[in-house]
Amino acid sequence: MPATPNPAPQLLALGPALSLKTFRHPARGSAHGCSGWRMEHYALVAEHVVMTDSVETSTLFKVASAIAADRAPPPPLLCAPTLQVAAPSACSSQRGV
Amino acid sequence: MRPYFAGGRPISLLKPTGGVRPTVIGEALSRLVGKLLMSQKGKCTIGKHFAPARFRDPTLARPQPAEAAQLGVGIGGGLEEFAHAVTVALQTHPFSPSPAVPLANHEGWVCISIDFKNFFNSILRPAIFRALLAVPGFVDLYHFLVAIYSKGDPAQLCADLGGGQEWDDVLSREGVQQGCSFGSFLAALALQPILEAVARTMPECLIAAYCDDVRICAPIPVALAAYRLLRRLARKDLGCEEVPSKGSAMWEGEMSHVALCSLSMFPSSMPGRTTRILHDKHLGVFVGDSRPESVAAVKAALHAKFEDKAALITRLRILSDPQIKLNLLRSCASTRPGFWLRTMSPSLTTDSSAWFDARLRECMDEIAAKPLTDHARLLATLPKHLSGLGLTSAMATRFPAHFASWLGAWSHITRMFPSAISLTANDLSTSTLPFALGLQASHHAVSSAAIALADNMNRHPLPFHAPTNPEVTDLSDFGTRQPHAQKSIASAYQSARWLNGFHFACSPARACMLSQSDQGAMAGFSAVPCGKAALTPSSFVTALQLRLRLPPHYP
Repeated sequence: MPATPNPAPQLLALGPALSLKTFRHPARGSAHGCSGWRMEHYALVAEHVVMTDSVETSTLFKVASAIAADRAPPPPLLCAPTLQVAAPSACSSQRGV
Repeated sequence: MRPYFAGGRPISLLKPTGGVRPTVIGEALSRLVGKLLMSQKGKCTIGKHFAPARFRDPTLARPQPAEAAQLGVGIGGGLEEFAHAVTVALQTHPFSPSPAVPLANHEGWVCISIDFKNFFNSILRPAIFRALLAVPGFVDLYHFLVAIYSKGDPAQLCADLGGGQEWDDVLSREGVQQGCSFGSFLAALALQPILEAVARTMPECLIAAYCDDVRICAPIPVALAAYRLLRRLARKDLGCEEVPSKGSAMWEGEMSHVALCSLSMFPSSMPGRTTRILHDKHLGVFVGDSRPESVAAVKAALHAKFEDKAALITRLRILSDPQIKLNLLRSCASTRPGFWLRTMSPSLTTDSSAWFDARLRECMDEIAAKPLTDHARLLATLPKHLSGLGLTSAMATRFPAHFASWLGAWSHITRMFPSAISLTANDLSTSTLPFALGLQASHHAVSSAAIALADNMNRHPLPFHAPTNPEVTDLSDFGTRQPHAQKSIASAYQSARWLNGFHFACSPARACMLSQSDQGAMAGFSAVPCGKAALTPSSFVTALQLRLRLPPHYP
């Protein structure tokens, strides 16, 4: 891969009005990705959750902007300690059942 | 989260010719963001990068040498322009009609078709990002694209190992994903510098691409040098291997022995190099030459394609609901030959169109539970806003579709390939080249319809949507851009069909045609059959028979 340019290229900021229009009017019958969500689901979110006059403050717009700017959180470290989940039997014995 | 948003579900689609087309269905949110960024960038900005000459003022001096044009990204109607440009370039540069009668000072052109092995999946990502960073207009897409196509933190594709029960992660490390909003854009972006480098070495040529399908039209030595350079650069810079057996060589007229010797410098596995091919397929369009056997081969290939497309009409028989049948026939089956009607000459499409229409009529007979009269057939194949059912008749639309396709494409292809297309709009009406003859026939049919409409519009009442001033662009005015050609030509032609039907109809039928052409009058027939819009089969068939004025309701 070519080295990351320095200074970093300017970011193409998402336009609120166009974002809302794109989210609200997606292609019909879109296929779903791994999450099972289709474009129509996001259309519902944009229709019922996002206010027309305050698109920039909506969570959907913020998440979309984060993805466009490559600001999605990094993947979890596989070697990091994870919470130990107690076995159901252990819980039962603690409660004295 | 980054590999998750960048990833997706890989699925394998079977190609008609065998083999597998790997496709990835990305996460919907990423696709939406990609779509949004593409819309913000604008089709025009993208188109201007890939085919700058198409957007240039024709009065400005054209650059020397020729320019490459990528018509697969950001250009509406690019596919038809591609097919028309290759056709004109070949036909205007024929080899001598026979070896015994050489054309004075004339060297024919050959069209080399180039195809790569697994282009989208094997193209090197560093090459893509080098190309992206080299174009100031697209640099601001870097952040999003590096998230999708990073090599260090590759996208995670969740492959279904069977029945949605078992899954495995595949890391996407090379190439672009077919199905991604930016897939074709990035592949074309990486290919563009190579096309431009090749075009710079060719004084007179046509070099055009539709995504990874590249065509070079030029005299044999020029085409050979360009072919070799393209092949070398694609391997070195993009890591893509050209496959000669997937390409072809075609030309118009008869080659001399010297020219045939020059042609033998191309790889021996390339179709057309050792034995002349009868026809080829350019992005689905069947292209041949003027030999009678080639014309017959093109017609046969087209007929086979129409038979394949008509298989859907046959399969409609398994449905019991006539309302669903009619909707599917109108929206999915009857429109299928449209692409070939637009891109191929009416003389080539007439037989296949007649055959396809016969299948359409059989299916309509079955839906209406009665054989259609000629008047009923006209009503069935008129647009909905002109009292029809909206079925597309291949025979009725072949002339306007072909004419409008050329009308929309001509000014663009002459701008993009001035050295390859020396013919001017003024020459079109007198030229005897096969494409010009097809265009003249289409123009004659369309202008006759417009004249008939204009001459008779005061004798009969016209439907609301009929054009009040039907004008057809003359062939000599093809140089001007016609962005809405298809719509205006179709409107004039279909209104003339309506008027013709109205002229020969009896008074009750005329009244029926007029009332049915009011706004929304035919809406019931195009409604999705669910809820209140769904009729019982017997009610629907009766309504259909009444609308089409079929006996015994009407004589």
